[in-house]
Amino acid sequence: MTRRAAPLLALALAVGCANAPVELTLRFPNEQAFLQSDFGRLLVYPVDPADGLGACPALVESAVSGDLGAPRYDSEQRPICALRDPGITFDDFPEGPHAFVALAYRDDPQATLLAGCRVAEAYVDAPAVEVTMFPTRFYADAVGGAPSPCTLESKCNGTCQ
Amino acid sequence: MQRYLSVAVALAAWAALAGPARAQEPLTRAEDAYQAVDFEATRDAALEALRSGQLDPAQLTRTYELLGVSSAALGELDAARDYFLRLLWLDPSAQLDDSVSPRMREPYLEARGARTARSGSLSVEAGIDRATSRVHVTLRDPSAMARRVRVAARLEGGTDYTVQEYEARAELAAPLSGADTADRIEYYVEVLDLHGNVLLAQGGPFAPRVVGREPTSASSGSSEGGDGGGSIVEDPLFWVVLIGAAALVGGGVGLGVGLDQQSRISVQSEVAFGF
Repeated sequence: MTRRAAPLLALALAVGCANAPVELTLRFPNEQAFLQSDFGRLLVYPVDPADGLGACPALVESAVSGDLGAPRYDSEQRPICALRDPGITFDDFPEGPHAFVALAYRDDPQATLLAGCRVAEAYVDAPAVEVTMFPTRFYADAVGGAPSPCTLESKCNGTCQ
Repeated sequence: MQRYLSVAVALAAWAALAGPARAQEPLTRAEDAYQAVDFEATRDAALEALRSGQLDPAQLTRTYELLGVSSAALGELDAARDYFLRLLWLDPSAQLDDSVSPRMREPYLEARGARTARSGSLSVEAGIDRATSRVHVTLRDPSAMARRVRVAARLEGGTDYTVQEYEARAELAAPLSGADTADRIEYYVEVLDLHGNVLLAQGGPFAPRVVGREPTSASSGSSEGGDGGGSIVEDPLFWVVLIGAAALVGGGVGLGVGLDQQSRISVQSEVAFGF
């Protein structure tokens, strides 16, 4: 009995001290736009609450042009499905306003297909931060109107070639 | 027979170790000739170093600088401009020594103008393509200097790299057994020129880059003892220490939160569709 109780007690202590993560929802225009992407990248920039709340347009423009500046957090290039499951986690995240920038592309990180940004404040028990992903100027050329043959499941479980 | 084999192995090992040293030799001669203001010897030795195919990025940069300066001094202005342009592709901030005369500097300035007009830079980026268990490499080479790409990768914590070489192209996929399920992989990538010199290196065998995700399954390491001793949880002292420690941690956390308003949290991504 005591043998079983020990790990449970330790787990209860650990869980009791941990905060639930703040959800960062990346909203793609539709499933097809997600399927057309192969890689994703999340970047988080510190924002000055006095004058940085309108930072998104410049950050997105720079990121799409290949200039990522100096993010506080950078997920690096990840397979697009990793953004969904298990998701990308930034631990040890300080409270306060940040600009959350998300990029999605195929094989060329210089040709971003979709990009989005949201300035939001993350704090304990904060509501989900939603970043809306918009097609960039590269999207139409890269996709060319051809729908992806994959489904969400086949793409992310590796059965779609 | 075995003795001959041992000698052959020793010779092969010596040759492998001596390779880089031999490659440096012509570059050292080129430096010496440059110090002696013998531009013809500088150019010839630098060309020999270039053709050896064993230069690292820093040596290659210096070789192109020596080639540019010596060619300019010998009046071979087109060649000098081409060498300087290659130098600037490798190091966009490269500056010529102050001692270089204005006449020899002219092709460098032309090359700088040509370089400025062309955007982008030589770069390489790697990631895991779990769906196909491959290391995915993206190469950008606006200089058109890259000929081959060497990709070496192993699962994190492994000992041996799987090394593969490919013709340079914008997108490469190097198979790596186990990459589909591994949390992270260690890799290094080398972009090679026509002669086999390293134009660009990301990581190295002893300082690899790491790519992947945070480990998804915590390794608890809760192996059963097995030496026949009684479990620690049956010792009352364990519970006294555990409860005392829990009280201390709880108090510390409470105090910390109270004192420091800027607490630390975590952020996790998810995906949704439709506006």
